[in-house]
Order: sequence, then C-alpha cells, then structure tokens
Amino acid sequence: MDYLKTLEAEAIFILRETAAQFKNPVLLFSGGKDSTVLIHLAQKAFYPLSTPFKVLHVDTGHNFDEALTFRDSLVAQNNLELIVRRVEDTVRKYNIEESIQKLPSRNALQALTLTDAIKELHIDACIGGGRRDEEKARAKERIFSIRDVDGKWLPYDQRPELWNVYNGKMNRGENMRVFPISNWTEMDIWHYIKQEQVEIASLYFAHNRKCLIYNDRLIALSEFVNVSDDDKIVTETVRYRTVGDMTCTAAVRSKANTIDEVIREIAVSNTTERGETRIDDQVSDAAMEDRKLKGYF
Amino acid sequence: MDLLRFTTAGSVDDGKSTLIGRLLHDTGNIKEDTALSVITDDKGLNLAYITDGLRLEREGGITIDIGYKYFHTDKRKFIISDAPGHFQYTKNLVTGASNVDVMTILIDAVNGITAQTKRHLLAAWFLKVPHVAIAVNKMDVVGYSEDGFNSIKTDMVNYCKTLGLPMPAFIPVSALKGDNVSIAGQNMPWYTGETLLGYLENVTPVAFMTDINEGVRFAIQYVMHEDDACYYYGKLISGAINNKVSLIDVKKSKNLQLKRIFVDMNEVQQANTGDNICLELGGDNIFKRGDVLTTVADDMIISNRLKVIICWLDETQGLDMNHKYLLRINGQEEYCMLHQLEWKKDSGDFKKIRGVSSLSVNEFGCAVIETEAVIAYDSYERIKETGRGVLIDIESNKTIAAFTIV
Repeated sequence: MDYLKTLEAEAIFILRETAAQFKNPVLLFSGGKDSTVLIHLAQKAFYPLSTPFKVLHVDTGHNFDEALTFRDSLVAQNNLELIVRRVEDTVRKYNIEESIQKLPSRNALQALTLTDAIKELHIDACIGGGRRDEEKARAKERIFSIRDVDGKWLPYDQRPELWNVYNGKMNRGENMRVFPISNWTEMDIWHYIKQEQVEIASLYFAHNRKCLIYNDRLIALSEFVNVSDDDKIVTETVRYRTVGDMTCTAAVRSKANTIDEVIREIAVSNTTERGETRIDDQVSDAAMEDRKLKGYF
Repeated sequence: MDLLRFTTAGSVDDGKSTLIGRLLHDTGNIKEDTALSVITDDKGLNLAYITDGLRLEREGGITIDIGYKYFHTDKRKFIISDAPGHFQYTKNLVTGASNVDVMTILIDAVNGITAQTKRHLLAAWFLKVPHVAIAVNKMDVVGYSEDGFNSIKTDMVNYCKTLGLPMPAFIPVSALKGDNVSIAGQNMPWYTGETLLGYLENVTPVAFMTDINEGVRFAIQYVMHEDDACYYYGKLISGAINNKVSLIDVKKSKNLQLKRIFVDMNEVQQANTGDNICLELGGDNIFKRGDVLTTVADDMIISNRLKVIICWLDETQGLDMNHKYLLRINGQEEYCMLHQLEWKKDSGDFKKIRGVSSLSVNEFGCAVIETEAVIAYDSYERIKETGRGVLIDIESNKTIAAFTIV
C-alpha cells in the first residue's frame, strides 16, 4: 500500500477515536501547513457529515497577516466554528511584564493561554499537528498524550499505548493532547498537500520581504521586532518552511513558487525544518521538553 | 512506495544507538544541523543524541521510552521505533513493538545472549511479531569470528523454536565500522546473506500479509446523526463488503439494511480490508460504539469468558484476582475480573510456571477473563484487531495490561 494512504488511514482512525472518546475536543489551528492538513483530514474522517471538531487558535498577537487571512478564509470556506483566545488577554489578566528583547517571544506564554482556555471552555482533548520527526522530545511522545492537572507532560510516566488501542480515559482536571499526524515527516506533509491539492498559506511560497539579519537568519521586519540603528535590513526573496510567530520564525531564501519546487528544495536541504527556522528551539538542548513540561502543546 | 515499521531492541551498551545512527547516516538521512547537535565537547560524534530525546536519557546514557525515527531509501520508507533494552522498561518495548512489521534484536557479539535478549524474544512471542531479525553487533571486536556468530545463532534458533517464533534472519554487523549495515564490506566474506538494510528493504510488510478472505468485521467507532439518517464510522478490520451485502449485528444476529457506503470523500460500491468507512444504515436500528457488524452469522465468538495471554504493564500494582478491571477490545468496553491464572512464563527458560496467583510488571501469563456482559471477539491468531485488547484500571484510568486472545 502506498505510504501516504497508510499514514492517512492512521490519522483518520485517530480522529474518529478522538471524536468518540471525548466530550469536547478541539482542533488546535495555527495557520501552518500541519494544522491545515489536520483540518483536511478531519473533513475526510467524518464525510458525508461535517467535522464535529471546533477549531481553537491560540493567538499570540505576533501573527503574519497572511496566516490570519488564510485562517479566516479556511474557516469560512469549510463552515468551521472558530474560537480565538489571545495571549494579549493573558498578559493583561495576570499582569505579566513582558521582557523587552530584540525579538520578544510569546511562545512560552502561549501555554498559559492554552491551559486557561482548556479550563474556561471545558475542553477535554486538544488535537495538534505535532509530528515526531520535528524535534527529539516530540519523537518520544504518545499519540494520546495525557497532561496532568497543571497541564504538564509526564515524559517518564507515559501510558502504554499498544496497537491502535488509544486510552482516552482521564481523571478530573487532566487533559489529553492528541497527535494524529505523529508519524508523518515534513516531506510526507508536502507530498500529501500536493496529492490532495490542499490549499495552504501563501507564506510557504516565494515572495519579497523586508528582513532583519539576526544571527545569520532572516527575521521579517514587523512592529513586534525592536530594530536598532546598527541592524542590517535587507529585502530578499524568501519563503517560510514553518509558520509560527513573526518573532521566532526565520524565513529562508527561496524562489520556490510551486509545491513541486518546494519539495525539490526540501529534498536537497541540508538542515531540518525547525533547525533552519525556529529561534525558540535554539535556547537549549531540551528547549522543547521544557516547554512541554509547562503545558506547551 | 510502501512503508515498513520496525523496532530496534537491544541490551544496554550493545550499540543500538550507533546502529540507528549508522542506518540514518548511510542512507543520507541525517541533516547537518542534527549532526552538529550530536557533537559533544570531547567525545566526538555521540549518536545516542539522535535517538535519546529526553534529558534524563541523555544524562544517563540509557533509553527509557520509545523514540521514533524516520528515514527512507529509494525502495521504501521506514519508521523506526527505538525501544529501551533494559528489562525495567519492557512495558515500553511492548508499546513500541506492537505495530511493527519487523522486530530487530541486537546482540553484542562480546556479551552474547543476555537476560534482556530473552525479554525481547518474549515480547515478540506475545505480540506475534511477523518478522524477527537478529543483528549480532560488534563483530569487529571479536575479530569478525564466524564461530562466535554461529554459536549465538544456534542458541537463538533454539529459543525461537521453544517460543514458536518465526525463524529469524541472522545478520553479523559492526554498527561502528559499517559492516553489513548498508554495505557488506570486506571483513566477513563467510557471510553471504543480506545486509541489515537490504533485509529491511525486501522483507514483506504486514499490510501485504492480510488475508482478505477472512470474515467481515466492521467495528463501530463513532456514530453521527443528521435528520433521520444514522451514520456509522469505523474501520473495516477484515473482509470486504459491497452495497448489496446484508450485514448482521453479531450480538443480536439481526439483519440490517445497508443503504450507502462512504470511503474517503466518495460514495462507493465496495470497501476493502483496512478502509476507514462510513455506513448509512436503514431501519430503526440503533448501534453504539463497540458494536461489531459482520456478514455471516455465528462467525465470531460471543461470550463472557475469554482465555488470554496477558502482559502486565503497571509497576505500581500487580494483577489482583479480586480486583475489577475495565476490558477494552476496539471500542468495546466491559467490566471484568481475572477468573483464573493458569501459568506465567519464566523469563529465563520460557517454561510455564503453574500455581501462581499474580503477575507483576513486565511478566507474561495465561489467564481466563470473565466479563460482566458478553463481548464479541476472535482469536488473535485469526483476526488480530478483534483478538487483542487492554485492561484499564478503574481508579487511575491507566492502561495496566495488554492481552491477546488464545
């Protein structure tokens, strides 16, 4: 059997399990290619009816305009129910003093907004587009990954998860994170996008952008970035290999305008997607594991 | 291109991480930034950093839980579930090996077969892993000795026979030097078989071994209603159906009128084994998650007793014959108690130890389970997905045991 069919079947099975085992599951959507593929799969999984999942966007306020435009058109086209919770509101609610850095990151704060939303909306499961090939801590995570009452991942006490028997039973206050595309690689996502003609945000294709050069990386110039006089600003033809916050996602120089060109580019690339584009993973050897211990998805 | 899933199990320090690193490296699947991140201060390349994703694993130099790695060659795509070798983590090995086509067991040519190797064989026996490959590693350290390799092979063949495992492939390798990992090399002219990679590229995946002639099993996962219509979502675990067949609810032996079949985003005339399907049924039948539909009456076992091989997975509590558990097969759930524990397997000589009253973590035994209400099941031998399940602790909600039905 073709591997994309195998991976698709696995994901659809997991999505149906999630709908069946939880009362109020939501699908986490960021505007990126992985959560876009998740939405596509969630539509397939429940055809001929529409997907039973609501869509939750944890909005850091540091979005690319293109990602928001894309989110809104996807939601409208597919008749999805969108819930937005803003990091901005979390900052105000807890009187958090945000650090003044060159590239202020709200990545860690996002976890707090998410865990608050879980409590407020009585969400029992969050479906995420995390993939095991992205990062070494993600590589260790179960498909149904339970979080304790504080939203923490317990990497040294994970439940056994045999075959396709996913155990969604929880105690009060616990929460489940579900990763239907755990076993997909970056390349699988692209081949699937091509095969299924999934529409994705325009950021993934080459465009001209004014960027700041920071540690040899291209950071989009925006109101969120604090520019100083000695910064080098350039205008380059770039695209994004991942889509996250404007302040922690780097662009790559590229002229790829079609999915085929993107696939060709990734095939010969000598770096991993997060290694090439994510500023937030560079902090330490266990940056992702540490974020997950604090409720990050 | 197809997909092969394999697990790597090895004892501590027998070079498992080096072997995986070698496979990824030789097939061009390690990117530059990953390679840079595994260079530690003074030791040069530390390949364990590629597979050990958790802080404590890197600090302790031991794999604690399953980690997944992905690579491809021109022939195939591969998913490695890299399993911990230490006996304490056998429960995690069982998780990692539960979905694989091949279980690759590493044996250190210097140390030979260890107590942990036997645990790995027991896991393969419990799960009925379709293929087993034995990679005898560190052949460079024993001077590429054919005799040393053959003596390990002879013992392993005997163990596999005792357990009724499929005859494994035996491959002498040096993960460090690269012999017989992806290329044969010059050092072992006496070995004429496939390299490990060659073996993994050519072995038949489970997906191609499914018997499409087995009975129809449609397990209902999820039910949705719209207007007066009822839609049943689930996987066609076994067999094929078309829109002319008459389906039977296995527990009530009642015939059902099938209106439409959906696969993917299409209405179809026929669905095949493995398809995630949606059925629209007519009449006023109401089914729920866990119900199983088939085409031939009496084709499935309907009973409140089942004999199982059980693997205990919880370290905080052992099997308690006076305790009530929640049994789950597919979406079917039923409260149950262990009625009788016939024997447990000695992890040293694989003999049955009788007269036991409990199982503790990482132990395998044979038990009779009695459920409160009847359930529908098959033997694991006949149809895997309706012949296996888990026990869930009612208080903690944790999965505490897994079983396959005899």
